[in-house]
Amino acid sequence: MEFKSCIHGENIVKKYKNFELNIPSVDIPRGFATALIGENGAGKSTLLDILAGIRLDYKGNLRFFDKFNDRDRETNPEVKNRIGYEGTGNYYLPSWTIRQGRDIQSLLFDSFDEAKYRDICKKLDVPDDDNKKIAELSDGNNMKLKLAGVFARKTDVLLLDEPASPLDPLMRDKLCEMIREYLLLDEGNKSVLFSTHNIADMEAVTDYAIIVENGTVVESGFTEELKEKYIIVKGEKKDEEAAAKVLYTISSNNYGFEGMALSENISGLSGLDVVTETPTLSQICVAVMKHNSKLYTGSIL
Amino acid sequence: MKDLIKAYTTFSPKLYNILVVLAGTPILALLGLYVGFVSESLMITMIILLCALILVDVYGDFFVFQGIFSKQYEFGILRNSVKGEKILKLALVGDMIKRLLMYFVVLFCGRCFDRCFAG
Repeated sequence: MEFKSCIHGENIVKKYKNFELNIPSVDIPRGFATALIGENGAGKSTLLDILAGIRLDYKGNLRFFDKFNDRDRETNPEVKNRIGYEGTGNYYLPSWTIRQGRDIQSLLFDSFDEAKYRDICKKLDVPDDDNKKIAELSDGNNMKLKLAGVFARKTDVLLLDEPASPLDPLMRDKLCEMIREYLLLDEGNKSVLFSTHNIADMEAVTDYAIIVENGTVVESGFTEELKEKYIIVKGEKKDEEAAAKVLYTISSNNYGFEGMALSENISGLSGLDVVTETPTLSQICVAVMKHNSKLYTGSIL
Repeated sequence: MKDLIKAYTTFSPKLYNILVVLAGTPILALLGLYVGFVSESLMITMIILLCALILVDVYGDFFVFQGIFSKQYEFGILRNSVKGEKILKLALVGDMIKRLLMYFVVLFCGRCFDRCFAG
């Protein structure tokens, strides 16, 4: 499926002491919600920080909204004002109160709508105490506050780092709803990129997925395309050895096996007594991550 | 000017501004008057007042811009706006002006009383 990119990145390299982010090419489709998926330390936050301009010590080329580069992002207010970013960790100063957090946003962002911010905070049930320190809020309320800030601005793309992690299931559902509402604004010109570990909870809102492992993109595509590309295979113990040659990933127990195969290789399983199923995005992500992970996949205990 | 005041108040806690700026300055000014009254030397008056002001500044540094210089703080929200650097600069200028005014008021009180006493 062809699409227009709201952010395009090429040859993005960021080196740390024991880790290197090296992405030859990445596209964030315009008008869709994109999930950035990967295990801990895969490079998701680093990539988001680079796209948002939080980190500037990287190599590579970025293109925003088809016409601006990363230098424009830092010098042209038009570009940065169109990017909404919510980061993990110390996004606000630890000593700031809720009032100070609100004041700084009205100072920093021209399009910050204070009335809308208050309204979102109220609807998300954020504590209504201006003098309470943000650092003293629970992780969930802290995230709600950050989300209220980013949704109360006029932006064209949202970059959200682990927005679902500290939220309860009900609030995760609400977040999916908010993302869907945001995408409907401005005739499909808004885009959202969020990193997540909670693939199952966010699957309902994920149109496009980018899977990052060991600092590079190992798989990307629209959810429906990925569901056609991969297939779940289940079979009996007697066929395990033959199926293992075709399967992308496999796990087994005393009774049988279950694994993921590329649909194009399914003919290799002909003659075996197997059942196939369409995978969920969560199952695809786990299989791709498992296939590319440095994590030991055998028995640990 | 409006932005400068707003930027400064955003980075400095309300309690700090009430205790140190609004209450601390008159207290230090009174100290200046007292030291000026009991001391026979202008230099001693000024040294004592400067020491008191430095102590207040150390306390102020702890509260204003708290945590901004820590390695963990990556200026997240400030880097997300083209105005981030400007607002931080304004807040720092606001803090400098506040300190200058505090020093001026306190040292002026000490100096005035010393002159009155000497005269």
